[in-house]
Amino acid sequence: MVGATDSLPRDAKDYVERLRRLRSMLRLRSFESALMRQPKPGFQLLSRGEEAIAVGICAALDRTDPLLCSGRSIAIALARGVPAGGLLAELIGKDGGPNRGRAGRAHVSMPSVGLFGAHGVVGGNISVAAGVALAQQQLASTAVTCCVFGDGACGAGVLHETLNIAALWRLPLVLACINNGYAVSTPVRTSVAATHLTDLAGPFRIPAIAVDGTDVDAVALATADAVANARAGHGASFLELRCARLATHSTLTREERSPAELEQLRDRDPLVLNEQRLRRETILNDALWMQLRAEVDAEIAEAERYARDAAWPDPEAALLDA
Amino acid sequence: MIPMELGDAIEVRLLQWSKAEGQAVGIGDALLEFETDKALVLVSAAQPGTLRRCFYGEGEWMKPGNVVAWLSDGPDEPLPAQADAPADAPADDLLVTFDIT
Amino acid sequence: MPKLFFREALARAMAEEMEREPRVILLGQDIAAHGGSYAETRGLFERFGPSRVRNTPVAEAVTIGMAAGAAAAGLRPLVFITYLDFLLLGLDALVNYAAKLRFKSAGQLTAPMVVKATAGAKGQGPTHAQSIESWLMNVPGLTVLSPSTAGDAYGLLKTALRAPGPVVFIDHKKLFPRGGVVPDYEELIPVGSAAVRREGRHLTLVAHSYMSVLALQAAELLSAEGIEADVIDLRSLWPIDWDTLANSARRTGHVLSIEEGQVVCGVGAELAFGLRERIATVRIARLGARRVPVAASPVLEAFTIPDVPAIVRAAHRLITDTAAANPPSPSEHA
Repeated sequence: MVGATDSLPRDAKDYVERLRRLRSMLRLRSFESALMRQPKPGFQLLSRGEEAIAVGICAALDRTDPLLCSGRSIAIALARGVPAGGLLAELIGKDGGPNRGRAGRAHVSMPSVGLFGAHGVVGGNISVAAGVALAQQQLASTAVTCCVFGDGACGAGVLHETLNIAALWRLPLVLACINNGYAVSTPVRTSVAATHLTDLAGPFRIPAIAVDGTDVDAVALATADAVANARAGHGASFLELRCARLATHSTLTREERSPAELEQLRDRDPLVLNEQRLRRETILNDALWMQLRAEVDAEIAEAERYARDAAWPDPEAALLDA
Repeated sequence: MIPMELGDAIEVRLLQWSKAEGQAVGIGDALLEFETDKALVLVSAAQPGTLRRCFYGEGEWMKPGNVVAWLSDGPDEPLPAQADAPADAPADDLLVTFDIT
Repeated sequence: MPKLFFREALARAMAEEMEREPRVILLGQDIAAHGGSYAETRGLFERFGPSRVRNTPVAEAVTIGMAAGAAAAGLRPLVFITYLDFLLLGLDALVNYAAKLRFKSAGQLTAPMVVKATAGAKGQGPTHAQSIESWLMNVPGLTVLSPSTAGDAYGLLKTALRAPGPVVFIDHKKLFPRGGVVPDYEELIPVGSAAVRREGRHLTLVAHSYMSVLALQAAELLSAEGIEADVIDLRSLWPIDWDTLANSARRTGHVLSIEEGQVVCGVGAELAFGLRERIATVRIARLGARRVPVAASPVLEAFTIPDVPAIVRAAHRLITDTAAANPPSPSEHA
């Protein structure tokens, strides 16, 4: 957890951390709003609805635990520690971000903060993550590798191949599946025959657990357990993190869910749910909430300025590092 | 003569001789062992005789069709004048065992 | 200098590199106690142990993906693909991740991995016979190497295992029964270095892998007719050693590219354009497999891929067909 709060009494430490988590989710939401306000936001996959998952997973990882994710990377990247200004620049194609405009949201990476990288091929990062885990094992590192992917990847053969090899070789790997119910327009019920996504790990004897992905503390706890398990040498785990996709699949995809279904989604907004929970527990009040929002607004405004002032890459830079 | 059953072997490496020049050879005695890319091959005698001349040493490479050695029924049979000349009767009574490695 | 079987040259290169660099690990089917599909890892499991010589299930996608991730995270994996045809099952991680990693991360990550795959038709039918190495030449970020001798296999594999990015090392089934001289000292052959196997002033035969062996045999037959050929063994399909090839082409004025794979978008197609960009007048022809899959029957297989007589015929056409406005037709065996 956060080292600076170690000296505080336990309750206070919880309080600080839980406010930090809420603030972080708010930051993610505000960032994506800022992204969509850009003159040319480009082709983006928004993480709206997955903020608790991003924050919860990152809360449970050490900085040296490699984190890989899919092309729906924005919340993960931000929660992991990619600077907001740099990420915004990267997303709109400017220089000044961690990948100098080469990667965009599908491939953003910043290993120095623990983001081993996003990868745009559905399921493509899963076997890669197994290799990263293999390297940790081989180099006698205690780092645990975590790979985040969506329900849309659960029909892909490489997931099952990876579960198999992770079990055979006891890889220090956490496979975190975000089940938001859809792969573009395809409901998970029509793309995965298993009753529950956690069933997919069963044949390989890998422990699997389903978690309410709108509860940031539940996500953090489940991830921490899985990470501890792997760090102790007990091998891989499969987490199914259930949430709702609050936006469309992408900024260029139309909404196909019914108004009634969309209405129900509002009850699964992790930002609202976590805010309400903290208010109920009197950790949060209006004044504190306004303060958090003001801080986040200031940070996001600074990020927007950074991205606006960032230069477009030199076209010749397209030839570098190839 | 190296048997043609070796299939695709282009060249082989002689590993060791079990008999020396001038030694008598009995039925079933091992003569030499060589290896292809894929198998170890043991060549043994199917009838008694004498090993008269070896044309390849241990570690040397041979090709199918090379004359590897001369065997004669008796120790004093006259040998062809020319070294490595084809023998009058290529041995067709060698025992060959393969060990696919 | 010692003469070794092709597989022994490979094993020696691997043993030396594994000794030198603890991060080199081997991943593949049957490479541990069994010693490899072509006996090319014999002894390595006993010497380096199960954590560095790992048998994998038959699952090329995860095996190559793991190699890519392991390489990105600091290891130097070598993946064995028994038949080049099956590389297709693992192309995603190789092309979409490993080849692009240094680029898409803006230099923060790289994937120093080697995929070793065995190409070539040898009596096993359509999906155990392909020579599709030309597909890999046009992927930015991939280095593609292909030896034709045991000595070059040794030198190129060592280089591959020290390369900064992903390398595909392609050998051929018909190279394994051969022996070759391998230096008894350490020698690395650099990437992008072709070998001049023979010199002659009338035409240039350029080939790689097993076709280099056949090209030399064809050159001997041509020599008996008074036609002297340069024989260039590419060794490196990407990057191509243009200097060596162009020097030869300038002298002879006639280039015949020989490959076992398809000529459509094949190695010869790239050589033709590359040479024409460098030399104003040079006549170039290409010879490769007929545009059909390789059949299981040896009779049908032999009809499908180039052999020494086909090379000789193509060389004749290239040299004598001066009346034709265009170079002779490719991929003929008539």
